[in-house]
Amino acid sequence: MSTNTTTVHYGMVIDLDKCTGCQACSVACKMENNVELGLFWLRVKRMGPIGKYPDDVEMFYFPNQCMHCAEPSCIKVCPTKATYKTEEGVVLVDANRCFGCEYCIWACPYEARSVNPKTKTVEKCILCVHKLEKNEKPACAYTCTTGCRIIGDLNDPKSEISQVLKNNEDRHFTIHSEFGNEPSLVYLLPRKGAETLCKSIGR
Amino acid sequence: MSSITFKEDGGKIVKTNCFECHAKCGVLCEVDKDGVLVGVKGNPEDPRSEGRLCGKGLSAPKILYDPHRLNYPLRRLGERGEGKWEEISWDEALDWLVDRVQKITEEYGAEAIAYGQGTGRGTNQWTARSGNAGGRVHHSLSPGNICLVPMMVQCFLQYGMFPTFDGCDFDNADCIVFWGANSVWTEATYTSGQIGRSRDRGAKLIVIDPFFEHPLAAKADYFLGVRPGSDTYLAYAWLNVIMNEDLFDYEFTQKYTNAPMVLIEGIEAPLNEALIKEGGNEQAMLVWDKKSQSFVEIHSKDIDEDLEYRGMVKLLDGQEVPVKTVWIGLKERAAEWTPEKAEDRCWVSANKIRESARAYANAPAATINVFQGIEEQTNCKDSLQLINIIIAICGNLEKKGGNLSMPFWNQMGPLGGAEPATQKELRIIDERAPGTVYGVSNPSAAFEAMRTGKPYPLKAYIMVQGNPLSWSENTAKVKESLMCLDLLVCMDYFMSPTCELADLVLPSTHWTERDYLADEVCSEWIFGQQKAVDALYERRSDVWFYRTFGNRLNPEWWPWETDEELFDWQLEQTHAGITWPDLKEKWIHHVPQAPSREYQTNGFGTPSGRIELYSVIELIMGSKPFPEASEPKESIYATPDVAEEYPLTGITGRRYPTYYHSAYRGIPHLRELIPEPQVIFHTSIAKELGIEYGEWVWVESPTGRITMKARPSDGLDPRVCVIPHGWWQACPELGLPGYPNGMSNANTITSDKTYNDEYLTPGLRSTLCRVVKKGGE
Repeated sequence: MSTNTTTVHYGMVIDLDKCTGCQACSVACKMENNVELGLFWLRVKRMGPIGKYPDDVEMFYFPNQCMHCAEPSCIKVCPTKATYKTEEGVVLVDANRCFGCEYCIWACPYEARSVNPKTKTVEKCILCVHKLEKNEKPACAYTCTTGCRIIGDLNDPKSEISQVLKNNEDRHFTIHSEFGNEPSLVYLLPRKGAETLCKSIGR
Repeated sequence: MSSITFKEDGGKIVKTNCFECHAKCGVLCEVDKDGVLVGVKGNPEDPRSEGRLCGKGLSAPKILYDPHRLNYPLRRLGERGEGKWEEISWDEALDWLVDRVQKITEEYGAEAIAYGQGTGRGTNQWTARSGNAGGRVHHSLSPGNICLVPMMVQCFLQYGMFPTFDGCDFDNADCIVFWGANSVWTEATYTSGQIGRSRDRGAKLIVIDPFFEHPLAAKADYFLGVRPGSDTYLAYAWLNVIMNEDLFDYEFTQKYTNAPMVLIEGIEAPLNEALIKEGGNEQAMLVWDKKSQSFVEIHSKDIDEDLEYRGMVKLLDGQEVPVKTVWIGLKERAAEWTPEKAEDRCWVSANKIRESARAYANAPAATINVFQGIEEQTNCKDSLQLINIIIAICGNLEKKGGNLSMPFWNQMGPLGGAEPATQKELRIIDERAPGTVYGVSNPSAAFEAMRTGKPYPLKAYIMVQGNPLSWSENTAKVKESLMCLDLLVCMDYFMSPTCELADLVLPSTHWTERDYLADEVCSEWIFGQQKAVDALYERRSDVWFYRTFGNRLNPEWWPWETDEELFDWQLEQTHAGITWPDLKEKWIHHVPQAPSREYQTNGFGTPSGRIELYSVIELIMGSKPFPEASEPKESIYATPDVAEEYPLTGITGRRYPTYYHSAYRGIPHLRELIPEPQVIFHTSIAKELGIEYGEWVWVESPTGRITMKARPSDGLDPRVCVIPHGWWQACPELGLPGYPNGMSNANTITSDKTYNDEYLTPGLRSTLCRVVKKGGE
């Protein structure tokens, strides 16, 4: 990770070819951020299996969370400016400003936000900014049992994340790119077993 | 560097190992200044897990402080199972227990007492030691017959070491095979990361499993959707391809396996030296040496063994007999199982059998990971033997990227103490299976002895972290059996269904509050698994209990005054080359490797010094030395009459990545991920029966019936269904119920009628059953 914070644009790559749906990331998120029972800042969904067994079936696991978009639609609709983006590209919610109108939940194409029933404010993945500040990985990426999550600076061509993206250009997948949100979470498609199914993400 | 780092704020970071499963990943426990465990994460210095940690391990603080944990010794008041308890001190508990055990021993003999555990994870030797103490059998009543023993012992018999569990070298393999194993969920941290790297550099992946929801099935180069329990046919068909297409490693097979060993045709017994030479050694097995054109002893050096020798031999008694090599014997058997013929039985297309066999055999280095999909079958000896043969003849043993020996398995033997002389005479088995290889009592027969007093009374059962009301087949019968006992003692984290029936319930420490050694399933390393926090309440470690109780009962067998003394003895016995104080300080230590790593010099630890494709020891034990293309004893083909009523082949015991067997449904943030038991069956069956997703259905077998929620799936054969195990515990915080009386326990429907002849294994992974819509039945 770069130490020159002014030029950093944090992003994450999730290689769907590696994810096994073990849920370690969802538990790590819950433990690290004390997320309330019933709320999920991060969920791993099983997509499929679908098709004709045994030779024509598709399945993959899909970790879903805030995409920390470069052009976040949640920010545009927030009436109190509670939702904002840091200079490093991390989208956050200021709970002191949020009054739970839920516009952002409707505006987010990624089902990444939810209301905390206790505080009545909106919560979501914070990319463990408190860890990024200390040059540590977010809890999900640190613990991932498969090594499918790469965190780093998208603006630094030498960073691991940029290298992984460069080496896997044929597998890039940004979800709902048609909305123009420009997610900072980039998925790498499974090399096999999700040829048609992966196109259904988010639908 | 010290294993404890003290922080400026008075807190500390403790290097230790997680104990939530066998993988025992290295972790860093963060403890605050008040001694409270605030967080756990993986330790990047563990060369296996490299900092990765699964959801179970990460949940340590929640499990440690869970309000439903057992905290004090409890003694039963009122009727068995009534739920009335008195809290007592450990001293009182141990005095009372020692007295009860002595009285039962006086009245019925030591054999009236059984000791047990669940998965063990480091207590295997202490449970065995309790069972052996005093030189007279006390039964070790544990689920070894369904977990680890078949695959480990079959490897020992053929290889003299055990390389198909933590010895899979995923990181260096060019082809990775999961055969009835889902280690990316069960030992995730030292499996998935390595596999991901290997696949990035182009390693091939083969998944042999009846369930497409195996997390690697969709990604596999070859997914072989095998019928549960039909692995023998598939393995023979692989052999057929590998042998006929000359894809095997000729040199390894010739020099380092007993393939060239000469057998007398018909009886298929080894031609030994005493049969052909005056004063010859009857222990000496022979091979035909092409160089000297003579039979020579199999250990002979500098020979040119003939793999395909066949001929007539004149014995000393004048008889002339036809002989052939093990290799020919095996080839003839494999010849019967063309991929086309196997396809009918194992439901994998002949084409895919051929292609996958070639992919495995042609890979420069390939590793096969085997587990309970193979083990929990009534024909497990044959499938395990066949897979071991495949690994061997392709030259993938003790090879980088193949299957490697791991030292602890070869060192653990002495820890349990010598087997009592009465082991054979007091063993409880019956007509269901002789258990020719696994020399303990059949758990099912032992449970029966609790009920009937036959062949003699079994009156007491003392266990640590065991819950036979979850792990044993035909649970209703097990419950009946436990109700007949005079003494039932359970040490556990939570009040399990088995604890509920006990006379004495003992509170066990979580791994974060106990010291121990992490050696089993730790590959080439041993770790000081030290506690991060002091034990809460009156919780004690399982090892402390065994040692203290044993010491009071029989100090000759349990001489250690402290846990530390016992650890040091264990380290000495296993030749770890380090003492407990040093290990605790260092945390990780690389242990010496097994001699077979240098097999070119040392050979393998078997009678022939070679890999035994034909198992001489199994011949001597009264089993079959060659593997058979056997069918499970209960299956749609073996018992078609049963299958007419119960047409589905049910696999029980499929794992969840966030639970460990029957543990942790009560931990809220884990339960919310997987809130309810779901039976998985094919979408077409759901349509046929008019069953919707999420509807509660019956799952029925000739043994019993349970209820689970329906989850139709496209990911399995319509003739198969998947029944998860371990559901008993409630989660009050989420308002989610428990499932009493085995109502959703997979083993309520598994059969206790048939067992593997060698390993006494029931067919948990091929239970004939049916799914029934509720209401109107």
